[in-house]
Amino acid sequence: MKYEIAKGIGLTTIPTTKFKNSKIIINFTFRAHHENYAKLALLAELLENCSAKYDSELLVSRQLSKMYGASFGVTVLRYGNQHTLQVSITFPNDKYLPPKSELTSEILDFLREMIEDPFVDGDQFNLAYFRIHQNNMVNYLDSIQDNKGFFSTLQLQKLYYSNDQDHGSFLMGTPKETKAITSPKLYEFYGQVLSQSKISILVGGDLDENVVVNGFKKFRSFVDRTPDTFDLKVVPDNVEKVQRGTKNIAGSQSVLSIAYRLPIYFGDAQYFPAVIFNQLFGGSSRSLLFTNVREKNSMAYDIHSSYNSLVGMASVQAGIDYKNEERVTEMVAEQLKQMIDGHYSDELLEGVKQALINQHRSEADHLSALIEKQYVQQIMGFSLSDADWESQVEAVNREQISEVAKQMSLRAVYQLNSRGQS
Amino acid sequence: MELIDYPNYNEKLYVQKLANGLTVYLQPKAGFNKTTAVLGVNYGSIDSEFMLNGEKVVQPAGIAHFLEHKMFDKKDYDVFELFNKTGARSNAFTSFTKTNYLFSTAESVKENLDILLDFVQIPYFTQQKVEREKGIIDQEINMYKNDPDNQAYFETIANLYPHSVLSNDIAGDVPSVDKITLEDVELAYNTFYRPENMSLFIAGKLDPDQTLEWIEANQARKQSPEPVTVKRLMTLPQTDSEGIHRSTMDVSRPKVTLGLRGNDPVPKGREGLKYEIAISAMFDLFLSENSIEYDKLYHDEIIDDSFSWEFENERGFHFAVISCDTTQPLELIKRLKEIISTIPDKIHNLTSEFQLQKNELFGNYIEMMDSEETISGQFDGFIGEPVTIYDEVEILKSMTLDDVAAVATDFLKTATVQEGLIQNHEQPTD
Repeated sequence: MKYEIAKGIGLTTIPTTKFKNSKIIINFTFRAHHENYAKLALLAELLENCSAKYDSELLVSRQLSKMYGASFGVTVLRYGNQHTLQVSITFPNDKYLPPKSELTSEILDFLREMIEDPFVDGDQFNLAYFRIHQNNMVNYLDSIQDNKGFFSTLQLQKLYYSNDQDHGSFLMGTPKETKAITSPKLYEFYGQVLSQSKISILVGGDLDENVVVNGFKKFRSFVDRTPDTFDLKVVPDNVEKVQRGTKNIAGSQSVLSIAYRLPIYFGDAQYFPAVIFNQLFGGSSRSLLFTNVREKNSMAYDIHSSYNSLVGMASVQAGIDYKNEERVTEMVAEQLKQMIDGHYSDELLEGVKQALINQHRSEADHLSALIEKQYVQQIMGFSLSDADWESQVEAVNREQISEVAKQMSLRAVYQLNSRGQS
Repeated sequence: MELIDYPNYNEKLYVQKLANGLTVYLQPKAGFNKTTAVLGVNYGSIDSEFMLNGEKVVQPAGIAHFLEHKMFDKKDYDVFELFNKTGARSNAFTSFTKTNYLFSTAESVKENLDILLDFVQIPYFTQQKVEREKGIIDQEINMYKNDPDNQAYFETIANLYPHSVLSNDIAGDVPSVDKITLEDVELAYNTFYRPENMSLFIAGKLDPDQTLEWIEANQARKQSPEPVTVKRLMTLPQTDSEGIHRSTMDVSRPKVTLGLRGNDPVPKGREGLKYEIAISAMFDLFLSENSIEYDKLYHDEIIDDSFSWEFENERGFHFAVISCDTTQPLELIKRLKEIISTIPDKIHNLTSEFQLQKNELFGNYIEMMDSEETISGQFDGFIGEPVTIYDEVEILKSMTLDDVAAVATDFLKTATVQEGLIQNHEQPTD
């Protein structure tokens, strides 16, 4: 069911009695601008950890325990061109709780408190609270380099969008940007987020819809607004040559990351062939990259490809020995050539289709996946019945996959090199 | 089939021990599309030394994990190819004491069950295949070595249990893997991959009678292996000294770990689960975000969200590891030790805090019940009696603060403590 809480604020319910828990997510969305990344990430921290009533992390934590360990989180996301502040909470259904429990109303009151009454002094976030979380955020950003795979992914993204900070920058900002934020400025920014964002609420599980709708109608800041509209699809600038980056570190393994432009988006005619292309290329444990680089040549333990249909990009990442870097790079290019030439078995193609259908059916067993699917279809304005989805997968043929593979154009390579033991 | 009913949660568990010794657990989930099956072998990285028919065998570190990899590699195909045909997802992992093989699927459960049982129960090893796997495993070892959190965790365990099988990484190291031969692999397989040393747990969309029939038919096609007498040898020498173990790695901030080695006896079966839940409750009372102690450390900016702890209770050993990134490593170690030393005295006063914690844990169990991955992952088929998360929640409900205090006191009284500190060359200590 769909409800309108106010103009620009929609609520969608996904009723199901299959689960013992329910989940609510609230997405505040607007167009992605890199100047906002650090601000929204820090804001998420401040909204998650305290409020006016629960004015310490301890009190928020204890309130959540009181509500049967409800999992509450505030995070930032990016869907193509859309910047998103997401508030989410998962909590058990009343029928498994002690008699007369009415957890839903309590949860809605809690959300209202956390969203509408943050921990502020006058026109800024409480300064001691602000400072400690600002510091923690800077430490977190600095620690990303400890996670070599993730660090490489972020560097690759930066290279890929070398002239486009809105898409090349890390969604959580940089230490420098985070340090430059002041408490009054952030509070002012929050005012804008709250009053101007498009708000999409999704509610999944076995809940009384009236209780939920009326609960959200009590949010005093959830009033009419006219959010600007924009296209979600990210179309990158053309680049003259392949962007390359290298960093040498002390460590036990090198990480090779390669990005290609693949200008095919969610909902396009070539969308399903692109998804299947990725599975065959490096997205599954039967893919050409996995079979030939890992299984046949023992050059990697982890090698995989991924495809992002909101930004039209495909990438490959592998953890390898430094001395094999050139060889692995060649082998990746060879596997792409094999994809263009259709050098894979019918059996593999059929299996990949089967696996996609199987996973699609399996998604229905996860409440979070059901909600996410509903949301993505909503923002993309593209939805398919399960039967149509499956028949589109079935219909994909070799020629279409080859056409997809031909559109892969190498755009960025990042090498995190480590020449031996640390 | 034995039926265990959990009316409070609308769930049922079916249990059957087959003639060949394999124990089968079936947990249907109404309304689910997917089926998840886990075939567990009671054999892990610590089982590299044993007596086989009266003779002592010592195998290279990492053999159990190596065997896990090799099970997928058959004469002229890879097992992933078979799962790919049905579209199932499949995986395997090795821990200190177990090797688990699993699949999950929304289609063709019978076919996938046959693939799972056959690939684990019908081995195919050759010299050439053994050699080829070494390069892949070396890269896996190097990947973990590149991760400072992983290093901090395993180094701490090695310091708690020096000169023992627990001081090796689960995958072993590059030289030990290099030593593994075809004979080692065959011997390990024949010793431990036996139906009586396995359990099969299936959760999700399933019809219990029909599923059991499929499994029985599959097992009837196989010959039971010749009986063997196996005695696992694990000596865990006591450590002579406690203290801080330093190592150098490229990290953004120093990483501190504090390991507690349990030296008290842990009861078996359901009582063992009770012990585990009690220790978790103890840590929650003093080191979760709900505790005054955590709050103080947090506001003194000694810890942040990187703080975590975990407790492992496995066959033959139990330990806890607390870890955090911090700019004040020595202060953190000092403060943690102070907090831990006051637990036996302070815990008795935390009546309302304990009630709150029980509330939270109860809700966490309800949350787990929606995930067949968690239900099957949480299950240990080798503790003498089936204990599911539905049992765990009942154990929790009846637990008192006195129960927790008694377990906590026993554990802490005899626990040995080792700290780990990983930092850069340039990072000064406080």
